[in-house]
Amino acid sequence: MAAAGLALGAALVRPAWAGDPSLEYAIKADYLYKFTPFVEWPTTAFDGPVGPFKLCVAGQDPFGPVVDEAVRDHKVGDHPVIVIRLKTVDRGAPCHLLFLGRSRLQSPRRMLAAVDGQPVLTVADDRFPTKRAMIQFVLIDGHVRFEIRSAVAQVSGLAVSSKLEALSATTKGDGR
Amino acid sequence: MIGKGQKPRGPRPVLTVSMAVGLAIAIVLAAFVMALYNERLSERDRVRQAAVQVHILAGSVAAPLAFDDRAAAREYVDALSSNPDVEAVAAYDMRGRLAASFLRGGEALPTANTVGPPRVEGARLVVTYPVTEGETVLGSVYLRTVLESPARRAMRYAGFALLIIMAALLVAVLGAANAREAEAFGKLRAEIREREKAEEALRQSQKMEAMGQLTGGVAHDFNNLLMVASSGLDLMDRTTDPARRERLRQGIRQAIDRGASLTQQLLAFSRRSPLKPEVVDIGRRLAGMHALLDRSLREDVAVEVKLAPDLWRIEVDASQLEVAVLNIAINARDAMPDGGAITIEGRNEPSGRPDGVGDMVRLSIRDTGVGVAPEMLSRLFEPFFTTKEVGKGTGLGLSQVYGFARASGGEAGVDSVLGQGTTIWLRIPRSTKAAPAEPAPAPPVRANPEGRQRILLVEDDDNVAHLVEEMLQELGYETRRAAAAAPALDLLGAGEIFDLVFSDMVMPGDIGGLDLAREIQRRWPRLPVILTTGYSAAATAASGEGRRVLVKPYRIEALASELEAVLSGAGRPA
Repeated sequence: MAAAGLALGAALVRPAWAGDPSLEYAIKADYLYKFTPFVEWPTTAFDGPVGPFKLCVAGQDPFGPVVDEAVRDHKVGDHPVIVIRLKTVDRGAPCHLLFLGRSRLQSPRRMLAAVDGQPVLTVADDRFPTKRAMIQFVLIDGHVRFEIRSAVAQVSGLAVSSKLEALSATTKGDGR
Repeated sequence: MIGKGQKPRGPRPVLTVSMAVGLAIAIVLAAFVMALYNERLSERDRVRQAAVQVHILAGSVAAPLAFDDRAAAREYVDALSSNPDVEAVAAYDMRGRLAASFLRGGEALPTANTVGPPRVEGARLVVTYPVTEGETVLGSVYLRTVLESPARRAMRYAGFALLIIMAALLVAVLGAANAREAEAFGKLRAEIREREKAEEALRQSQKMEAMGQLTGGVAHDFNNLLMVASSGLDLMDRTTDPARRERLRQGIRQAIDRGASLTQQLLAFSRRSPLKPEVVDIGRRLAGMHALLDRSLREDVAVEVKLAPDLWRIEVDASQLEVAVLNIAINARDAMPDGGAITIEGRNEPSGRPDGVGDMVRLSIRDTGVGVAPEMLSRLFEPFFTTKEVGKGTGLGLSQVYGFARASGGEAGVDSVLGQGTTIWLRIPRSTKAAPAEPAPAPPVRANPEGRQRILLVEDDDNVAHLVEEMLQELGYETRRAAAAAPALDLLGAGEIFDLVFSDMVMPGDIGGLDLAREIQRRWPRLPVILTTGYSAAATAASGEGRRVLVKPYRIEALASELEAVLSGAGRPA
């Protein structure tokens, strides 16, 4: 019933940014940061208790300054957030969250392989879908939603809150 | 006697009316305080419940708020609305915008949520809480619940209050009833006390009446005796016929003896006459009494004595035994106005024990008179109880019998059938001591053979002193009289020589006869003292000290033998 309500709500209420890509990425940038409270990183992933939280944007940057704007003065725990833009993702890239953007230089698979087994929360854009990213943005009726693949996250030593999972589009899709 | 101001008060009631009412009020108050406390607790509970609900909501809506999933947020908010007490629920996102809400009624939701501690607004409780994940603040939630309405609360307490009020009422009513009961009990006790006092007063007045009867009777008897003595003396003055004078002399002597025995009875009744127990052979005693009984009874009354031949001896005061038998016989005589027979029976009553303890001798005196009514039987031995008219009896006769029997370690009783006669019996313990030898006849009075011995007579009464001096001189003693103890000690201190001091006991002045005797014993230990008194208590005290006492009235023979016994060496220190 809840799922039906959600579908109904989504169908009736079309957000104001619908069709505006800059607004859509502003929301995605906000979400990137908002994912962090619902995910637990191992303490070993950071450089000390106040080491920075590295948010990496790989490939072509679709956000521009909005992502810097979204994390400004924000912290993940005690870790200040910094945004790192990467043309290519190398093995052992110093990231805690990796947004996979479109890239001519690297395939998503290669990017993911570079951080495979590391505690890096991987988020794939809806225009760049890959089954192996932990979070996959999707657009449903013009709303930014996401699929959560907590099993993938778990393999990398990350714990994703069930609250976040509850909002997963896949989960809802399963219930449908 | 109770004064008017001393109204006897009953015992303090355990529970007074005011105490009962106070207790009832206390119960209600305690219940009220408990309800208040309960109310406070339940409110705190409600606040806690609301806080828990808000916490759960805040946790649940964290993700929906973060990712602007209004439908999911709405779902959680709606879940709370199923609670009918919840009036409004709202979730605000991190920018303070209303993300999801539910409103059942009442005030509109606030446009901006101020997070703070739970607050009560009228009959509503408002609880707010921030929505956080990790340390990131994602928004806030707002919950408004209805506190219980006064009417509903009143309903909830109504049953309880009813019970408490009933209990208080019950306590008050029971307490009041109890108090009244205690009060009534107190009154009853006071009344009983009053009645006891009245009875005591009645008894006292009965006693006074009895005393009046007694004094009347005794005075009557004494007047008769005095009449005999007085007229006898008058007649003696008018005649010189020795035979007639002798007869008159005997009459006077008899009257005096009867007077003495009357006072003996009075003393026995007052239990002041010390018993002088001796081993008595009842048969011998009764044989000696035969003549006396004959004289005391009328001619139409026959006396028969039936004694068991082997009757045991008893240890009693012989003269009291005689008085007792005489008293019973006189009562029997008076119970037989038309004559009859008195049977005196004596028999052994063995207890059956080998050591002979409990063996009794039963002496019963039966008449053929009118008998005693059953309701009188129990009072027969009461002092002053008499069925005879004033002047005829003192009411002391049978009480002497009873007193004598008890004092001798035995008992007395009465059996009577109305119209057929009465039997009064005595049961006296057996004595195994040997009977004393028959006393030798009193030696004739003779003058002191050893020449004139000097006796110091101490006596305050001039008449008595004069007569006693005469008697002593008659017995051949030289006398000197002192009117009190102090002049007697002066005489002795002055060096006058006496062979014996003969002193009255009760005298005016600081020193009595007993003190005088002690003083003489201390200062002149070789000087013998004989005391004399008519007052039995004094006699008992002196006898208790081992002193020689001659009880008044005494006859010249008794005086002579007492003096002789002391002076001849028996009582004289070596």
